[in-house]
Amino acid sequence: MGLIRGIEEMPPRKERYEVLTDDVVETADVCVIGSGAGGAVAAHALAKAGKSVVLLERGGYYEGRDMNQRDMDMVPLLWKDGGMNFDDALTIAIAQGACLGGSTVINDAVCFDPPERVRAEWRALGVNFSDEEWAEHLARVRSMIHVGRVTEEELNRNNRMLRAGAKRLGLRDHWENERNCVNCMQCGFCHNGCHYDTKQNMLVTYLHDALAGPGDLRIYCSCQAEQLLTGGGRVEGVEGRFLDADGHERFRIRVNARAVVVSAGAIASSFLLLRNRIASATAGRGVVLHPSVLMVGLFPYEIKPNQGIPMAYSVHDFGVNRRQEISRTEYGCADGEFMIESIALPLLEFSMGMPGGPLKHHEFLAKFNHLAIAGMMARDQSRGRVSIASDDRQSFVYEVGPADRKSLAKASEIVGKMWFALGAERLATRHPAVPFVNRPEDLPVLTDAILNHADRMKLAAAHPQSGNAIGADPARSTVDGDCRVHGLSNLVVADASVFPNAVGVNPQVTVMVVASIAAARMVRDWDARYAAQPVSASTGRTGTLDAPMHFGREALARAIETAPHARAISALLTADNGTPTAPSWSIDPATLEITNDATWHGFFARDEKLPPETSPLGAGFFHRFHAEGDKVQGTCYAVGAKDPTPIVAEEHVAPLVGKCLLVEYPEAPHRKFTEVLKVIDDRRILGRLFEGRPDGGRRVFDFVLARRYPFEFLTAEDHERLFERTSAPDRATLPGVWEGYLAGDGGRSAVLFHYRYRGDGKNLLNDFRLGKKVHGSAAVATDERGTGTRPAAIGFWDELRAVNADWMIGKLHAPKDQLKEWVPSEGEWATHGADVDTVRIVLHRIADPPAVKD
Amino acid sequence: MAHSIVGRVIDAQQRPVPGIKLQAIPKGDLTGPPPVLGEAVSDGGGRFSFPIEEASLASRLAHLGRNPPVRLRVLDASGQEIFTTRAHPIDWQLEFRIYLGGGSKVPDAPNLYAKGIRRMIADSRDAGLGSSAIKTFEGKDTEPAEGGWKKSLGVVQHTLQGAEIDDSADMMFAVLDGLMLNTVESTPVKIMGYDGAQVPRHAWAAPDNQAIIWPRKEPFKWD
Repeated sequence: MGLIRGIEEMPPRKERYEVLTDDVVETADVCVIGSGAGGAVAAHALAKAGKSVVLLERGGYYEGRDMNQRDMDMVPLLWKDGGMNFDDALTIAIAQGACLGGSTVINDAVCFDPPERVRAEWRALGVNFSDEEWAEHLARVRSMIHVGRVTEEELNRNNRMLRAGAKRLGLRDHWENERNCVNCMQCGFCHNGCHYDTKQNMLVTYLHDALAGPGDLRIYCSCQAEQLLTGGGRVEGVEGRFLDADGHERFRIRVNARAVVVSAGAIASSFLLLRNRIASATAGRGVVLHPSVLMVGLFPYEIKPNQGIPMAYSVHDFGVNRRQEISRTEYGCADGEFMIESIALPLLEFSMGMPGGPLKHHEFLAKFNHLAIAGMMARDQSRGRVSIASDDRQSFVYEVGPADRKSLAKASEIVGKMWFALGAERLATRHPAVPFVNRPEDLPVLTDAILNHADRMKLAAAHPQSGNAIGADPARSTVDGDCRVHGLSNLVVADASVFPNAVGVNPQVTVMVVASIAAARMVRDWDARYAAQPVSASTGRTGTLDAPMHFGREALARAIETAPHARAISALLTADNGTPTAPSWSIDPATLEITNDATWHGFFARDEKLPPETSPLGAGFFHRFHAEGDKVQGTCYAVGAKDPTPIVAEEHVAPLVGKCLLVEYPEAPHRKFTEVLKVIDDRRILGRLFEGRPDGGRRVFDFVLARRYPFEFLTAEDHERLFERTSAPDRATLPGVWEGYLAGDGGRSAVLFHYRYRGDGKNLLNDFRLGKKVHGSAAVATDERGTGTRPAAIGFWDELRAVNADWMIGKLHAPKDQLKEWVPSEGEWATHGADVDTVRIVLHRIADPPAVKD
Repeated sequence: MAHSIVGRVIDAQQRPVPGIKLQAIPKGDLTGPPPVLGEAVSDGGGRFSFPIEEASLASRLAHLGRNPPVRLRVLDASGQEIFTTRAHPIDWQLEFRIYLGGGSKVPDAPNLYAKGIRRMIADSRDAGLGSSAIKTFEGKDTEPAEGGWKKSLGVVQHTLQGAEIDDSADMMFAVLDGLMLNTVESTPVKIMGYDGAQVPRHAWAAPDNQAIIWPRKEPFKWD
């Protein structure tokens, strides 16, 4: 039996559901990222083949009864970015699902088999699926999602308008769509999810079947996969975060798997690869969208377009499913392909897509029941690109090219003629320059505007495809014929991003078939290729007893109360009897783990909000212990305090915590505080600070003491030591995007700045962005102050040291008091000189040059 | 003009349900058991269709001065009432789609929509949208003057009654979104004659009946 886990309390669920209370470390045969038409099918095939599967989904788990047919409620819950998903220029609204089941939950349930024409094209472009494979997996998909033809009685008036219009114009290839909907209630709210569960989306078909077993499928919702950890030509793990409705991190997850399948959709999959420096030169290039426009006709008779199935009829004379060329020749469309589909949107969604001033807009919407609506979708030859902007945001650039403008113009003209032939009083378009067309003779004005000012059109797209195309050549494609990423033995991409070009019809069935074939090939090759892949035991950045500095507050509290106190008091003693010397400090060049045997470094839980009375402890602290006769004494160095404070430790038994060590502060002003410590081993201690005694005192916060810790937690002292030991980076290795944070004794800051280096070793520029307020571009200099950026106009300068190929540390100096402007709460991080303030920075490479937005 | 009622019945597993009796009754009859204006039994495909004669509506029409609202009483094969739909004014044709899978009430079910607006804002900020507006507020050096945007927010807040307010741009967006929700759900949509959502907003807290009612004022020109 499978299981779904998430972070939100839910009403009763049809599937077994648990609410998470802690970070997760999972081990599985396969980790699948994304639960839409690609991921769900792949997860199903692998689970049914006996593989243990962990599936990560960014969105939440919502069922039919949750879907209340209201745009304002459902779009935020089900749609990616709450429906505000655009290209960089904000000209194309891209509809994608972000919920368990992905876009199959919010689409119009339209099903087209992978067109013969397109399959032949793809074969020539390197797709090696045999006809038998296409046929076998298409039959499986059609059966699983219950594909059936819309019946005559299910055609609502809006669909019949398109049929009548096509007949009036003498078109030949138009028919009722096939849909994956069983006994549809015809409520018309497909875009808000199906309240009646008649739509056979991934949740009610593939995922439901896989969860019912046999097989082992564990699904994690509200989980954003962020890191694909690579090494040795393979992916060894996936790391992600569980984000709540406000975008705040609740928990973390690490999945160790023999194979990873990325099925996050064409745009998100591309970004995930690029952000992990995988296929940087090819991923995200050539994304197509099926750009679409609406043509609305206002009629003197009643249509009520929203009543019934929104998308049940389509015209194929000009598309990839055409059976003849006569219409294309007659209408001069031989150089482009497009499809015309009936479409009706819920009122709010519809109104947001229509141009015109407020009065005209209202006047038109008031006649909503008399509107007929059709959508025209180009099989685009334009190519978009997903890349990483210099501030680490996802960038998507797409420009409608001349051929596609021509297709959209021609399609608009044809539908315009249809509506006028059926008696339309006027047309509403999505071009702001020509919002209304009142006479058939004025249609050329619209087509001219589309051809020459397409950038002003309000375009929509719901079918992002391609970007990680299949191909044999790693220089020109991202995945091979088995959908495996070139150069990585166990990373498969199974979604629309592997299409070599646009499929030309609503793509959900094609996505499912491709994912089904890719998964079947994984099963076929399992023993030879995947079974022997080693499974990492890493817990990554999740909080565990092994890496307690990653604990969240609640988990740390639980750990202190349940973990055994496993060492004698002598385990507290630090190297050199509490007097630090250089040899007691080291850094592992392979893992970058820091060992500091002279000091127990204090850490707070990652979501700890420190109470003000603990200042200056709040900025960080260290403990050092030495033996004094038969007693263990020591000092607590609170960062920011003038002098260290003496502490004394002894064996103790405390309420809730049990057997532990008690630490007292014998001197004022800290005398009121006590600590209990549980020594886990020679390098990790869990602690709790009390105001008063542990029996009856007030718990202030929990903490961790460690003598060995990951590089990301390096202290100011570590930073200084490393800065002295390392040298300036090779300028030629710098190009790419680096994210930066500040290092201090209280922990690390959030990511506060980004550097994008471009150019070569000789002429190197840094496009810098500090906080939200300072950005610019400056040359990278190598002079008496070392190697770094020197933007004279702004006044900061930095000096860098290379730690390894992907990490640098450095110091950033700024004129006195200037950092306060740039860095929030800089007091925690900055050191102050007479004229200059300095922060210690850490830089991590996050993108290679080819992945960066031009 | 004769009126007709048509429709279909399916169950929770999306199967057509035959043998279900559907009776059209007027709304709000206080004088005794409501008269049955017409009735039918669903066929093998779950479909039903029956006319309502003008004569049966005449007295009500005269009394109300407009088409009287009717409901559909849904009864199982034994004559036991399953539920009665909400009412809709009789039309040239009323289409009822009946779903016998509404489920029971779960009074303490979490309200999934309560955070919906905030989720949209968080997501849009992740996507980098709205950042210019947010910057505008964050970039202010001084407290906004009395009577400035803060006061405007106060007015909006009062309109929404009880929403917690702070200085952030997030809250401003939330308030504006709330206003839009209010607006969309209220008068303008009704004026347009748009037939909106057919189910209760929070189906777990108030499952009610599950019926879609699509009124047709006039025959379709192309039939």
